[in-house]
Amino acid sequence: MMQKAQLRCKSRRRTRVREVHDSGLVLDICDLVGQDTQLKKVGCSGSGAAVRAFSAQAPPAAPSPPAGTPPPPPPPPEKTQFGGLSDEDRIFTNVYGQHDPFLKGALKRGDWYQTKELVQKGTDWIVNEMKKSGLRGRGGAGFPSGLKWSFMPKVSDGRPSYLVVNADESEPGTCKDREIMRHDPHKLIEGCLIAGVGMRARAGYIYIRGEYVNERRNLQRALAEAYEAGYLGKNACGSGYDFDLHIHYGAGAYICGEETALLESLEGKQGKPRLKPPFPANAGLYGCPTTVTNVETVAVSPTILRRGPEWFASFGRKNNSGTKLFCISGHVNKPCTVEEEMSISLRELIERHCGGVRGGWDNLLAVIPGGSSVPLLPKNICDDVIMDFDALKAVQSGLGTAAVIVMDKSTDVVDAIARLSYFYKHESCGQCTPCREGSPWLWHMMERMKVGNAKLEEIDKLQEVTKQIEGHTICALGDAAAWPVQGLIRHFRPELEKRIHEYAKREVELTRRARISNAAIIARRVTAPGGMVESTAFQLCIISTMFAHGNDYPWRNGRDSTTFPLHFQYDVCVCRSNDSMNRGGTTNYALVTFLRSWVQPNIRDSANQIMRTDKQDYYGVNDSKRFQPRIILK
Amino acid sequence: MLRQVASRGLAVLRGAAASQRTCAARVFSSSSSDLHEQIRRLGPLSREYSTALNLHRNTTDNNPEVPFEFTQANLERVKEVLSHYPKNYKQSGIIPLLDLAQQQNGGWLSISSMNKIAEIVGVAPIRVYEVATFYSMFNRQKVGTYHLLVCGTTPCMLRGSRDIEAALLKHLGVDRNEVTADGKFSVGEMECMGCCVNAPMIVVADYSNGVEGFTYNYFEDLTPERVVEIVEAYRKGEKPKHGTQNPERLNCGPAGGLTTLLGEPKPPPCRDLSAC
Repeated sequence: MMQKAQLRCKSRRRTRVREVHDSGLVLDICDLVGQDTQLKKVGCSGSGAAVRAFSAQAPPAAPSPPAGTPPPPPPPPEKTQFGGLSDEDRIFTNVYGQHDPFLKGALKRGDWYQTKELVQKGTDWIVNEMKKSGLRGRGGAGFPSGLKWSFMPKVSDGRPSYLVVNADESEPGTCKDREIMRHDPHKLIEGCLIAGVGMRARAGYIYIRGEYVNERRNLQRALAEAYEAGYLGKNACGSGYDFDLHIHYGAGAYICGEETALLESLEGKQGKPRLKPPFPANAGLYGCPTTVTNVETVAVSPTILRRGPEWFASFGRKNNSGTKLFCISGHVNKPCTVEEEMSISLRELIERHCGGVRGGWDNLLAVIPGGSSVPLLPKNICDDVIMDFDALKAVQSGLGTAAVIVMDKSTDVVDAIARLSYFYKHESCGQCTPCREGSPWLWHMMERMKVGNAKLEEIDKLQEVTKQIEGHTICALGDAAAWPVQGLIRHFRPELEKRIHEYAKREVELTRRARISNAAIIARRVTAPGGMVESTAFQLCIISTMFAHGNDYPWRNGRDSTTFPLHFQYDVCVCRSNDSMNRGGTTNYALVTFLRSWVQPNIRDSANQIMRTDKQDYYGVNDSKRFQPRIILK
Repeated sequence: MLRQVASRGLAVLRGAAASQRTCAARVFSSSSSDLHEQIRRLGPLSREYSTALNLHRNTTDNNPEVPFEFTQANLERVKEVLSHYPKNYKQSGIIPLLDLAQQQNGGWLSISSMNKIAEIVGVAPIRVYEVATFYSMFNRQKVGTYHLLVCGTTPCMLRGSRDIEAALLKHLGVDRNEVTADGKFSVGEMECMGCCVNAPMIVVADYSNGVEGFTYNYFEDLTPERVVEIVEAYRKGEKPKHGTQNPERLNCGPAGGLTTLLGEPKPPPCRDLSAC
């Protein structure tokens, strides 16, 4: 049923694209020459990497080194000291909003200066200068911006080209674009014009997330000012180039930060990522060539062009050049957003601008260096890691959006990552099965790991589930859900094991104390993960929850043990019950039916092989009248 | 005890309805019409692992017979919204129009408002329902005049958002996604709202003054005490100052004084463009 619907959906899209062709939309640009096929190919492979709008570690083409082998060392830096950017070299001079964000203030800060000349230099010049500057996309994937812009068709086939600015900033930890939009909106608007020229686009949309209502209002006001001053619209800045800019907004969906989901959303649909190819540079918004870029990437471009690409390239290491807005949140003394040089060391960044880690550097536990999607780094790596794309990739993490989330030793690190798993579970669009089903699994398992209610082997199982999600979905949300958990297992496995052992110890103690005469075997703790349930009403509750959650689990597919939910396989164990078990005949009957049909093939020792069940009793062979299994302590 | 068991039984019914699992229904209910009757009596429900129910059930104040019209002023806004998209892609306006309808309707979307929007943009109603159920900012059930949303994602969680939410719920005496008896407040949870360096934070969606007076303000750097003060200020009809609540901070800057951008900003030097 669902497959059919999807197919229909896809064919709809194709027809729609054709419609665009047929109706031959808009068209003041067009020499009707077909697109260069070679260009198309380049466009496909290139933007494939660029499209990963989530904080991506690496483009899919580049396989990350296997966990076992040590990562290759980062190339030796040419410049050895980074950081300590001077105020003169900062691009965003109103990050903190102490000055007027609107036109008057913007002109004072040097925006819209000689924009006409920049526009008149033409597309190729702009793209070349951007390439020379070494700017890499600031939205997470770090794809070279100049190259990405150059993928747009050089000659229109009749369709207009669009610039779409991704202002759907929702990667947890990231709040840099917000400051640009509310405090420096003219930088973004001017950047849109420049990027628009660089892509031969005649119109642009800024897709801003729905929650940023005040930011949107600021941006709208700035946009009106720009139109009024003649900077946009027909003959923008007097350059002879026509460029229109519109603001569109979403309504609260993380997935819309993925570029094709964003385009779907902009077309008024659910934000479900599209299959690629065709890539947006060929068929994007309304079926027309489109490039989606991050706010910061666009907003820095006019300053780069004015000051020269060499200036920009002089910051940071080779291939990681420039300045960057860093957002440092979590357990630091003074969280803040700050513009710094790329390749600054993490420690310096935190100590110079954020007053250090709460309780001193030695109190550091871990850092998520690039927004929630990238794996976390334990303190020993944080000690000397530097903040740029390549260095962080070398330690199996990523720069992402440069959103640094700091955790000190008081943090329950498993809880922190479990909350991220909940986030991805919540934000999965539901289109691809591995992500839709897998992200809730991850969350459930993480919730149990949090209290240690698991078997040791389940850590590997968890890792396996992440591997089954990663790379098997249309967009990068699946990968983003998998990576934080992988990072946790990579660096904090002993912590997970410790919790499991401690939990088992407690179990033994409790069981010894309990009365075990009339005990029954039931699946435990299925409702609130981590909750300890000893209530007598719980038997019915289990069954009801299982039915209630039928939709969430694959076991609806059949009674085969392999499709049984993971944690049932391992979690069937002993309930320390008392006489009340014998009262509710119906309850017992339901329970027995349930256990016979579902659990029987999976009955194992309980969580940590502490308790054993007497099989014969359990099957009710010896006592057919009453369901009274015995528990035998090892 | 009995009540507990009964409520669990109903939980089964909910699950059965949500998942269309007739086998569960067979166990607990003799006929499917009974089941539907039970569900209707329960009113709007939500599945435990989902934050909202993706289906609509007619109620007296939310059914296709209840009329919905945009006001004259809002019709102008509708026109303005649609002017931004190509004429044959009016569908693009669905999200902004739903947002407009939600503001006019006091914070939630009725089925007739969605139907109206489908009519305006010229698509089948299901296309609008799809969108309204997908995005988390659209409420299809009534919310309080002041809808308080707590950000609960990791950066906020690390800085104590759970305490903030607990304080709010305790103070208002409601559960999550529940409206207070006077209809003024409701509390929900949102995923990351992009304000992480000012964590923890809540947002207050103020539906008390229609579309003109609609605000969606962030309150940042909160403490459990401060959040209660904010609620009380709203109750009194005041408009508390939004943004950071830490007097030592300037927006997203570090507390206790900036480390960068200390002087008056100067325009950056511009190279000679005619020479390159």
